[in-house]
Amino acid sequence: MNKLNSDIKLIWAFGYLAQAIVIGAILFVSEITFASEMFEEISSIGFVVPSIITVLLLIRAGVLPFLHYKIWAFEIKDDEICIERGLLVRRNTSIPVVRIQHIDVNQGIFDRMFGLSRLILFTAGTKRADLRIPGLPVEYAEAVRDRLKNLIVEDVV
Amino acid sequence: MRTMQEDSFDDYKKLSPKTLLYRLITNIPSAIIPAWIVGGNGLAEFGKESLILLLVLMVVTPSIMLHYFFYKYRINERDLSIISGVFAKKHRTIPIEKIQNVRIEQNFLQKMLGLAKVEIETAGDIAAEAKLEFVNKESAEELKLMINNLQSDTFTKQSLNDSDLGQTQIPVAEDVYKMPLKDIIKHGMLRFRPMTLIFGAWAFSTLQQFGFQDQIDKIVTEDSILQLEALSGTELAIYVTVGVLIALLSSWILDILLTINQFYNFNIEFKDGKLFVKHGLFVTKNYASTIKKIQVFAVRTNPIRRLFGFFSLAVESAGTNAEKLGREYLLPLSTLDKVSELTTKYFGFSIEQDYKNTARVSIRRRFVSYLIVYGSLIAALCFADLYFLLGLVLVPLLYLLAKAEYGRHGYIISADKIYIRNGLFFQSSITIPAEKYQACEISSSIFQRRLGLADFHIYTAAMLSDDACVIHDLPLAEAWELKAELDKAFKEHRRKLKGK
Repeated sequence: MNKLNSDIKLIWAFGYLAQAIVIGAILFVSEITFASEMFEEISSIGFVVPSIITVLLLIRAGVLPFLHYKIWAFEIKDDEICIERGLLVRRNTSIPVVRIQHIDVNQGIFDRMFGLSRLILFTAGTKRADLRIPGLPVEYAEAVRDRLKNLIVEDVV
Repeated sequence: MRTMQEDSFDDYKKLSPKTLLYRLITNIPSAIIPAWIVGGNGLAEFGKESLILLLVLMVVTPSIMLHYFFYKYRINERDLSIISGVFAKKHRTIPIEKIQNVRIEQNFLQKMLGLAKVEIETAGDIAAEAKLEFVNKESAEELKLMINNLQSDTFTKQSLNDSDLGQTQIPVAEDVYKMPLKDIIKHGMLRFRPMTLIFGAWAFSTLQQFGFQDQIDKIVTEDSILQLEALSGTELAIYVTVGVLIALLSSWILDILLTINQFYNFNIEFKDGKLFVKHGLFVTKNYASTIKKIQVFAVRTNPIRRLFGFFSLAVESAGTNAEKLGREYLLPLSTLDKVSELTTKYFGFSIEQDYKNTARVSIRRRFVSYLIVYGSLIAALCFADLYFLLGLVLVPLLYLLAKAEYGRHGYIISADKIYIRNGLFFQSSITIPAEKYQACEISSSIFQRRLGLADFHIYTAAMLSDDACVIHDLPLAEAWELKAELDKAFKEHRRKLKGK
């Protein structure tokens, strides 16, 4: 099984960091607004909870990317594609190549900075039956897409 | 900064430039509202409002223009390719063979501008996989024609004409099943839906809507409370019991009547590879199920129905049908023999198999999860009254429950079909033809990993049954073995298809 490109850790970290900042900001701002309405002065106790949460979120931003990267793996064979991921629940998903309905190669804002992309393979099932592989160099993702295009046959559902 | 490359810039087309005009026009109403709000009420303030309008449009317009310029599409004989996105790029590729439907739509404004929306659908999700908003009407027609032509040689188009049973046969309708009125009534009797409650709630809310709120308030508050206080304990108990009994009885009768209305003259005919189902009294339902498109079969029952020997057979087909029909019942209520007769004759399988059990430790896992839930409930109730601690007496019952549920959960893969049996109170036997396999997932939670267990999910093109097609707590090795067998059966089926 292949690993993702290691830059994906940074991209994930940015995502978590952005979340931490936004949530932290919301918590602190609401703390200030509500506390100033309810009490005369803002005590320091009120800030304990938002601070703890923000710190936990920051730790998450630092730790989770590494853990996810360790577990994440994918394999592209001629007849099927499999991915393995998940920290709490380890999931091993596979789809036969002939079941691929269409293919997306997407780049988020951060992805573009590192030259990475996300490959999405859609089947005829629900969203849970789609395969999403992040952290693939663009050329690689496009090469995979082109190869798969040729392997996809007419299909009866 | 590496970005995606496109095969050849020249091949890619942009959407119609009139899209910009259209979007601008459609954005004006939403720009007027903030203008109105900020500008105040009088038309005397016209200058301020038009300024706001202008400002909003100035903000919206660059977005419209950017999205327009960063959207291009290309079609060739292999696939349709769409590249979009200003900051985050998205490149979607749809192989021509996978396109099942091309829809062209125009609303009034679009018609005036000569624009059209093209929606491209593939198998599976109802939502269009690609939407071109908007191209010239002529370009849209051209595109649709091109796709049709490119598909004319492929198997996909053939498979859309459903009859696979030999073109030379003249399709003759064959009676499959007629549900006797007796059975319909029995079905209504055994449904136990709280109809009176639902009906009562509906009547209540309708009355409220029509302004009877005052009368309702009067009835509920003044008179009743005075009367309630006048009653003694026993009288109250009697009234409540009688009230509940009346509610249950009327609910039951109502349910029977509703069921008769729903399934009156339930009739299935087989013709040309399809099962035609018709039923209903005042509102009739009429639909066809293409056998080849059925993804999942489900035979269901519950302990009460089982007592009378009753089962139901339902199927789920790919995508489109599920949205409108949900579960398609082929046999709303019948005997197991009838169910087996139908499944054997028309679908080639029987649910009477040698089901294998999953790992025994599953009993312990289930018991523990029930214990946690029940324990929390008792703990919460104990805040009210320590008397509830006596509830702990029921704990052994939970273990028996876990054991019974474990016993009912079984699976087997046999003759290219996967059978999953499940449920103690809501009993079901699910059958999935291996050829309908779209994706599969072997998953293990932290606890399962410690015990060497896993869950096995199969995904088909059916939307509703995702949660039912799962086997819980398999030993990990068995899960992978099952996958290998599934792969084998799937490949075998495709080999046979190609051989045709």
